[in-house]
Amino acid sequence: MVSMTSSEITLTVQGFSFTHTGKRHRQQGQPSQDRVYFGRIRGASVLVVCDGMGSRPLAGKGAEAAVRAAKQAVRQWVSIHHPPVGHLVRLIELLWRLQVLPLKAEDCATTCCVVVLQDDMHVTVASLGDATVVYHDTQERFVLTRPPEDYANHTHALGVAHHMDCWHTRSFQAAGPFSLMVMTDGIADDIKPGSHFDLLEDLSPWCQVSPQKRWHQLKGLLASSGGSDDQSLIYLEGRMA
Amino acid sequence: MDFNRFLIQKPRPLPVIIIADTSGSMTESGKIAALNTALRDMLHAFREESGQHAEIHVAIISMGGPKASLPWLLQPAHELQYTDLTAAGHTPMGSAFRMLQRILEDPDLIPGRAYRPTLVLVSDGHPSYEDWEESLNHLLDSPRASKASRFALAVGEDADLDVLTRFAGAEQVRAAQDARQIRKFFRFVTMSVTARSRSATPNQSVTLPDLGEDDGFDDLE
Repeated sequence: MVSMTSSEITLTVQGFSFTHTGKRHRQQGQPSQDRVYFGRIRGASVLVVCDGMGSRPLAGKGAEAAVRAAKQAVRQWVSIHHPPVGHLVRLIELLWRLQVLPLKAEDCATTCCVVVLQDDMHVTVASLGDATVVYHDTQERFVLTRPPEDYANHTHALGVAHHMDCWHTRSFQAAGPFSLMVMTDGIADDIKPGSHFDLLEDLSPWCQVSPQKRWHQLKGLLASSGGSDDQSLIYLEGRMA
Repeated sequence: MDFNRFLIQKPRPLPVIIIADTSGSMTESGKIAALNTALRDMLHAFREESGQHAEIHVAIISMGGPKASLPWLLQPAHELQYTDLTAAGHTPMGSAFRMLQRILEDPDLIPGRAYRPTLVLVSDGHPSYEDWEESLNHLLDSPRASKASRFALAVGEDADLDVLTRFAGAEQVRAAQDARQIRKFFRFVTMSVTARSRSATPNQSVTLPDLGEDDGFDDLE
């Protein structure tokens, strides 16, 4: 649990991350191509979830590079007071290109989803690809996911030609106690329609479970889903005093 | 705590939709018999798949008569009870394209968690009605059809290659002059779909082989 204090409010946040190699990769002796980061950068809580595209030979390296790029981008971006989210996206794109060199960007294609919670309760979401973000507070409630006409594993990504407007972005002020989760498609695609907020609610008690026990238990619970992709999830909740 | 109430526990669907010409001309030269044999072989192979990562679902749209019909709605291949298609009447391609689009855009039949569908158009002639072009344009403009894998097979000398090429693109159209080549085409479709169902990357695109070459498919009995 972490307290973040701005001039007017004290924000207390807690959460956890979970990542697990999917059935398909385990059977093939391959590592997970998901990479996650959950931590604090310059006073902001930062969630990064990247899912390397399985069809690309160096997707895992691409996802690693995307996490590094996102962290570097956020470090620069939060040093200014509420800059446009477009600047964050452009920084990530450019830094990722630098991070993957000398590899070919197309060999390293990866999705990238970043959530930044600043100490004044400002939330910024930037997502390229098929990660799903579920958010709930006293005024705002949304599921940000890929378009309904898409198919599984069919997604925009860093390293795949796209327009900047392929990034889904949200920027808003959190109101009251809030909770959010970010998931790769390995979990999100197997959530029953209409169940996202119920799952979000059920994740809260897991903040109190020890990391090792939580990982083993979540792994077992998520194993019942029909998918065989790598599975990653970050949960965060917060309240103001 | 029980996550089962939140999670779908079935493998993700991998849809295969066959749009089969069953017009009267398919009775000539044993074409409909060859198509039935090829479809039976394909379904048999699909049933053998374990469905551990993806479950192959099949629908067959029949083009014979004044309107297309749907003898087999999209369903798991292992549940589909196939009976031979019979050939009679005209080739209502426009009606078939509209039916295909309705299936593709129905989230209950093809949810967002499904893998990219494979669409296979088989015809030995020309569309019988003028509505085919507008319906095909609508279909190809739709996001879901444009992202699907599309293959086409021209059966015999009289097939309208222009229509098939517009449906699938020149690279994904093949011509079959006899029953052997029809079976060969469907063996390729079968192999590409079953390989995808086992693959770590089920959305990888594949390219059709040349049906005239000896590529070993005939040995795969």
